[in-house]
Amino acid sequence: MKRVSTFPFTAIIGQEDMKKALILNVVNPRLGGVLIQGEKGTAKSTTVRALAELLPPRPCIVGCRFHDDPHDKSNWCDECHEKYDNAEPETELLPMRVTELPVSATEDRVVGTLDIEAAIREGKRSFEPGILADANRNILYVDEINLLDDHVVDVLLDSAAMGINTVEREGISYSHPARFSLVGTMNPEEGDIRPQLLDRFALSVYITGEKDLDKRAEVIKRRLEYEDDPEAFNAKWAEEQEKEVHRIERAIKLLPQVTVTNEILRMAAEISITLGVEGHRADITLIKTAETIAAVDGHTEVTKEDLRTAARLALPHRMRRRPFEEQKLDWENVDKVIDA
Amino acid sequence: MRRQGYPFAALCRMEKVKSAVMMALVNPNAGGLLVSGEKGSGKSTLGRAARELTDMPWVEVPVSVTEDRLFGSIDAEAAVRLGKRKLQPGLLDEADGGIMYIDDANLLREDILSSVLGVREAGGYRLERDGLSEQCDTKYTVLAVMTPESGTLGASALDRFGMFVSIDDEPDEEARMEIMQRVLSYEKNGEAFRREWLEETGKLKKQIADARALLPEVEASDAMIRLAAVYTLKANVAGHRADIYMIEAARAIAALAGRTYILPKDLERAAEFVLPHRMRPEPPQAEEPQQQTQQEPQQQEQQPQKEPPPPQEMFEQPPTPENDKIDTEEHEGNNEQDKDEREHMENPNAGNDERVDAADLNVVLPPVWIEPVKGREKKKGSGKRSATRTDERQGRYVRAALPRKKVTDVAFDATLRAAAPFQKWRKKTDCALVIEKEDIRTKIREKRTGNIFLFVVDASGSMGARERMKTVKGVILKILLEAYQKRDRVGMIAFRKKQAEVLLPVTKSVDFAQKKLASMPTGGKTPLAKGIEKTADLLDMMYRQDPAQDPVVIFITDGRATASLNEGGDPVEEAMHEASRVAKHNLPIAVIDTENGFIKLGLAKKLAKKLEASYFHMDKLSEDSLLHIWRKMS
Repeated sequence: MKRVSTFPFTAIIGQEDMKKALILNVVNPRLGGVLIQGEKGTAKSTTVRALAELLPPRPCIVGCRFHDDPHDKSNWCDECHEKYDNAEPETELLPMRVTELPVSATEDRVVGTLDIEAAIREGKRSFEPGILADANRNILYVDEINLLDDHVVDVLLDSAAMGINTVEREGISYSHPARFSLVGTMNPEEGDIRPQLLDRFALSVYITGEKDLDKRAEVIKRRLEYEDDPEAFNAKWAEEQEKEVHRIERAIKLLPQVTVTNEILRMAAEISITLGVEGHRADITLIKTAETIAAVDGHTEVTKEDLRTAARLALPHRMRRRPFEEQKLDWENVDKVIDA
Repeated sequence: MRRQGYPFAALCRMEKVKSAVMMALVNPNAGGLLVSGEKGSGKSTLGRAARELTDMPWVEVPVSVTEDRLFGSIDAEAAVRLGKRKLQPGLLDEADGGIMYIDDANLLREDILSSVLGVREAGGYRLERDGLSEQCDTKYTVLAVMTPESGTLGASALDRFGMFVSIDDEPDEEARMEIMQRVLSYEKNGEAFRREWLEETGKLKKQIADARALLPEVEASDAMIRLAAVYTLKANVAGHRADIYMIEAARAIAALAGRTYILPKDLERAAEFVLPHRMRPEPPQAEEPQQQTQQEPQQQEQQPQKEPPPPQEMFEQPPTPENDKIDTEEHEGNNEQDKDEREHMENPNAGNDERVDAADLNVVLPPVWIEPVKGREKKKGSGKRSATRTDERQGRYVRAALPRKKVTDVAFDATLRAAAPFQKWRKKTDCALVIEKEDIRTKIREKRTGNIFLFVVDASGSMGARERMKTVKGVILKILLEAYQKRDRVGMIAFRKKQAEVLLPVTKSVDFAQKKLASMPTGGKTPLAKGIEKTADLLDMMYRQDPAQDPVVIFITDGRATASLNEGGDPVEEAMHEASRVAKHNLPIAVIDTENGFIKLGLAKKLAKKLEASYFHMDKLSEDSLLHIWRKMS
C-alpha cells in the first residue's frame, strides 16, 4: 500500500492544548495518554496522525514481537527472558509508532488469537499477536473511543491496569507486555465514555474550532496549499518539523534529571484533597505531567507554573460534578492552592 | 509473563487490606478475598503484588477468557500427532493448590465468575466436552479486586467470597505525599526500588510460609466457636457459611501471629473481613436487604457489631436555606413565570430557586413488568435479562457450537479441536490438518444489551412543590433497586429551568445513579420539550452505538410544560411534537404522572398517548398492581 502523506504537525494552527498534551506523552510515554474531546472538524484525528512523523527512535530488542526495551528487563516478554537472561540482546533503533484501534475491531483481534495458519499447516498451537502486542511501547490510538464496544473496553481496561495482556482463549494461554499510551478522540455529542476508562487517561483536552478570523483564514489557506501539492507543502515545513523533533529529543534527555520539591508535592496533594478526586492517580499524574512540562520547557526543577499548566491538563476529567452545575469554582480553588 | 512489579511491602497506608491478603494466602479455607476500591486506589497494584509473597501456583483470569481455557479442552496438538484424546487442562485446573486472581471481578462475565467461585466450593468439577469426560479435582484460593463504580457484584457472588475488604480511607495530605514519593521513585528506577524492599518482602514471605506450616495445628476451642456464632447471629447473616469463614479466618490470624490457639481478638478481627458483605438489617426493618448488604459494606465494615445505618441516611441532604421560599412557589401563573424569567436574565447565577430533596423511602411501587414483544426470536423470553446472544458478528465469543445454518462466523479453535482426533485416518495433504465439513463449529457470541432503564425526570419547580420530589425520588430509587437486582443498566435525564441534561450516561452502576439522584436539585420552569428532545437525541446516539439495544424509557412529569424550545413557541405543543420523535423508536415507554392539586390538566396523559406509552398516575401506584409496560409490536 502506498504511504499516504500526512499534514505536518507543526503546520497545524492553534489547538495548543491538544498539541502540548500529545507532545508530553511522546516525551514521557509513562504518563498514560490523552483524551481529546471536541466537535467535528477540529483536526483531532489529523493531529494525532501527524504526530507519527515526530516520534523519536528508541532502542528495541531485535526480532522481538513486542519491541521490548533492552534496558527494561522487568517488562520483557517470556521469549526475551529465555533468550537474553544470560546474554546481551541485540538492539536496534526503531521509531515509536501510532497503532490504530478501529472501533469495529473484534476482541480476538485486539488481544490476539490462535494462529490459524500454523494450526492447519503444522498442526501447532501458537499465538498470533493482536493490536495490543503492536501497541506495546507505542501510542494506541482509538478514534471515536466513546463508540467502542463495551467488551473491547473491558479488555483495554484489563491490560491497561498492569501493562500486561493476558490471553486465555481459543486454546491459547499466553501473556505479554502491553504498555501503551492511550490516545482517544471523541465527539461528546455522540455518546459518553465509561468513567473507568476516562480515569485511565492521564490528560484530557477539550477543543473547539478557531474563533479568530485571521487564524481561521490561515487554516483554510494552509489546508488548500497542502491539498494542492502535499510534497511541496511538506518540504516547506520540513525545517520546522526537524526543530520539533530536536525539542522532543532534548526533553527526553532532560526528563530523568527533573526534580520535584516537597512544596510542589504538598500542593499536588492539597489540590486533590480540595477537589475531592478519588484515588491517587490524580496526584501522581499531576506531578508526572508537571515534570514532563519542565523537561519540555528546558528546566530541571518543577515550578508552580508547571504545576498550574499540569492541573489544567490532568484534572478536568477527574473533577466531580454535581448536576446542573458549572466547574468554574474548582479552578479558582486550584489557583488558590498554588498561589497560597 | 511474570513481571516484577511494585513491591507488596512498599504499599503504604493499606495495612488492613494487606493483612486480609495475607490471611487469604495462609488459609485457603477462609474462602478467598474480594477487595473493592475506587479507581486509582491501588487495588490492582496490591493484588498483583501479592504474587511475590508466595511460591504457590498463580493463575490470572482475564476478562476475555473463553470457556475452553477456563475448564480445559482437548489437546489439539496431541490429538493431531497421536490421534489421542488428551486433556489440555484449563485455568481451574492449573490453579490447583494456588491462587486464582481476578483483576476486574465486576467486568468478568457472570457465569464465568460463578463457575470460578462454585468450583472452589465444590473442590472440583466434571468436564464433559470435545469428547472428553473427566473429573477434575482442584483446590484454590480466589483473590479478586473490583471497582464499585462499574457495577456491584450480585448477592450470591458476594456471599461466596469468604472475606471482603474495601479500600476507602480518605488519605490526608501526608499520606498522599508519601504515596506519591514512593510511586515516583519506583517509576524512576524500579529495580533499585525493589532492592530496597527486598528484605521486607522476604520477611512477609517467610511469615506466610511459617503460618501455613503452623495452620494445621491451630485449634478452635468450643468457646471460640460459640463466640463466632454470636457474631454471625448478631449480624443476621444468611446460612452458615459465615460461621465457618469466621473460624477459618481467625485461624489464619492466629497462625500469622505464631499461635496455635485462637483468641477473642482474632475473631473480632476476622469479623471485620467476613461479615461486612453479608450483614443484613434486622428482620423487622428489612426494607431493602439487597441494597443494605451490597451498597454499604464500607460503612458497616468499620464497626461490624454496630447496626447498619437506616437507609434514609444515604439520601439525607442538608436543605438549602431557601427551601421555604420554594415550597410556596407555583408555576402555573404567568406572572410567576415572568418573574422567574426576569430573575434568570438579570442574574444568571441566581441559584436561589433551587432545592435538593431527600428521597421518600416509604413510597410503594409495584414490580415493574415488561411484556416481552412477540416476533423477536433472538431474545430468549424475558427470563435472564442481562445478556443477549447475538447473531451479528459482534460481541464477546462465549463458546462454540454445531452450526444450525450457514456458517459465517467460524470458531477456528473449536473446529480444530473437533478435527484433531481424526487426522490419523484422514487423507494426507500437504497441510497437517484436514478439516471436513462436519468439524466446522460456529461461534456463539454474547453481547450485553440487557434492559436499559432510561429515566427522564422533570426537575422543575412544580415538582419541588409540596414535597413532590421526595416521592419522585423514592419511586426512581425503587425502580433503580429493582434494576440493580436484575443487573440492568440505568441512565437518567433531568430537565429544569431552560435546559435538559444527561445526569447519568447509561451505566451498570446503580450506586452512581443514586448519588446523582440524591444531589439533583429542583426548581425553575419546565422545559418539557427540551427534555424529550434530549431523550430522542440520546436514543439516536445509543442506537448508533449499538442497534441491538432495547431501552425502557420512563418519563416522570406532570406534563405541565412552561418553557419553550424556540422563541415564542407553545411549550406544550412543542413537547407533543418532540414526543413523536421518541415514539418512532417503538420502545416500551411509561409515563408516570405526578400532577396533583385540584385542577388537573391531564397533560401527562396526553403526552403518554402521543408517546404511545403506558400511563400511570403516581398516586395510584400500589404494591399489588403491576407497573405493566407494554412493548409495542414492531
